[in-house]
Amino acid sequence: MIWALGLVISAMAAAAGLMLGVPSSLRITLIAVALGGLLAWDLTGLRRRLRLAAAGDDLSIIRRRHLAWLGLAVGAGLLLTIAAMLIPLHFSFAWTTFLALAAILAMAQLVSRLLRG
Amino acid sequence: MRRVTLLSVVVYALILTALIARNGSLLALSLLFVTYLVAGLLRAPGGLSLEITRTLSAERVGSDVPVEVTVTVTNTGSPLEELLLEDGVPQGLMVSNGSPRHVLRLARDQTASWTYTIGGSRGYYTFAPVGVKAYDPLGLVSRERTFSLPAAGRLAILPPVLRLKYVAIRPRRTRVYSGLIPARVGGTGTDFFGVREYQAGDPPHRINWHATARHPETLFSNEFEQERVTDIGIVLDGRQQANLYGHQSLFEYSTLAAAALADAFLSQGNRVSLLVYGRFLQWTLPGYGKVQRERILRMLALAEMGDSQAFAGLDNIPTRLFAAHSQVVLISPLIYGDSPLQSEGTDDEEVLIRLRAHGYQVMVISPDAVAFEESVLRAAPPDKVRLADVELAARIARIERGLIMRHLQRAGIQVLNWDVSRPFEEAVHTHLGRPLAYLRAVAGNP
Repeated sequence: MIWALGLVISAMAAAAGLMLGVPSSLRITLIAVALGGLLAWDLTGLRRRLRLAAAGDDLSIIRRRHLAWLGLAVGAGLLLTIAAMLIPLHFSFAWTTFLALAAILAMAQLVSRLLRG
Repeated sequence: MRRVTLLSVVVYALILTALIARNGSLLALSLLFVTYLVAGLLRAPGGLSLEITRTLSAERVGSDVPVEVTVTVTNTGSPLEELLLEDGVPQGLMVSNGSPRHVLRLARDQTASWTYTIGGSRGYYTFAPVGVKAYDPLGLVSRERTFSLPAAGRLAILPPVLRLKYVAIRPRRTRVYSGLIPARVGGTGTDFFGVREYQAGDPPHRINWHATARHPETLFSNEFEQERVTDIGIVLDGRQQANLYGHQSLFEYSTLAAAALADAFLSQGNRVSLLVYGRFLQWTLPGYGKVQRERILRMLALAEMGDSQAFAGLDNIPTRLFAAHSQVVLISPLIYGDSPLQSEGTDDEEVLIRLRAHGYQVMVISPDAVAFEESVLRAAPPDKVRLADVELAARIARIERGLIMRHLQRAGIQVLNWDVSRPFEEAVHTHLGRPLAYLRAVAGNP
């Protein structure tokens, strides 16, 4: 629970910093804050799940694959985020709203479909 | 809150805030979380397609004997990155070695197997289904399913069977087959029964020369008592009110006695049945031999205490289940005195005397409730109760119980007042292991 709160707070802190218009040099720090929150939340979840294992279980492969997948996901996310911040794309407000709503709807569809299996 | 829900909320909140604030950097920040979310969802586990088997090293064991349980899981579906499997160990069983729960990764067609050891006290245990929970590699999405395994899901832990050397009983009627119970009929046997006039074919060593000398005209022969098998009905009292003292129970002792007696009677060749009298009636049909022994032990493994209005007193024992004039053995701490559950004429003592009057040869094995409760109170006296009060109360209760036992004995009922701190076989050997001639002389059975 506390780690979930940590994720929310770090995301909120990073968002607040970006909204306040911090200088470009500090933006990387804000992204690092959000990334740290996400990593801490993820690794705590992993530890909690693996705590249920029996003494003799070989968890190294699970840990290894988790870290590999986490690294891939976070690396890709980080690249996208930095790219999006560095490469300015100008859209009109109407286009931005349309794209954002489309993204939200697509995400909702994706999540519900994948959850339904 | 589920992890995937929390992350989705964060993502939506970031996107909406970015839209409202018209802030591109915020939208860019949300991409970090979106990528993580999509990465987890893309590898979400599909349908769980597993083949699970469970094998037990034994399906019937004695008390506290360890049993090895082996669970084998084969993944016949898509690879599962993180799998939590938990075998449904029944309540009451203790895991002494290994673990019923494991976390592992299973590739397609991969098999995993593990063994753990369980043990416990008397009972009949049914395993619950195996619980399976699969996660994606980031632990965002989980799928749960339980697998009911059709076979090898039951374990009977039988009560310990004490070996009794001999239990002297003397029913009024026996069966026709030869055994070890005196039949009250002259014939071939070992115990002297009487003297009768010589009949052609009697061996010369049976001639009673003393009697013949007194009657010179006639020859007399010794006659011996035939020994046969008999019908024995064991009644195990499972009434909670009779067995429960505080948080301690005498029922396990009663079960132990029932198992030992059933084994002893069956190994003497008798036909034995068992009635468990508690919340309801559980009845094993009369039978002989090892099969019947197994049936009785399995029923004893299942036996539980319980209360019911209908069976509050012993007056509802269905006597028609027992053969006429057969031996009935009641194993009960007995309820007597001013018990609130007893109505007029249903006192255990009266019921037993009535049973005796109906022609049954009754034996009562009574775990001593007074000594037991006294030891419980001495070990952990309740608040505001002095040990001197406990002692005084125990003395009064012991006198009352002694009177009841004496009444029963006077009515021709064999009584064994068993102090459960003593081994049962020792108590039986002392009180019921005497020669039959001695019993005849002392008990005055008709």
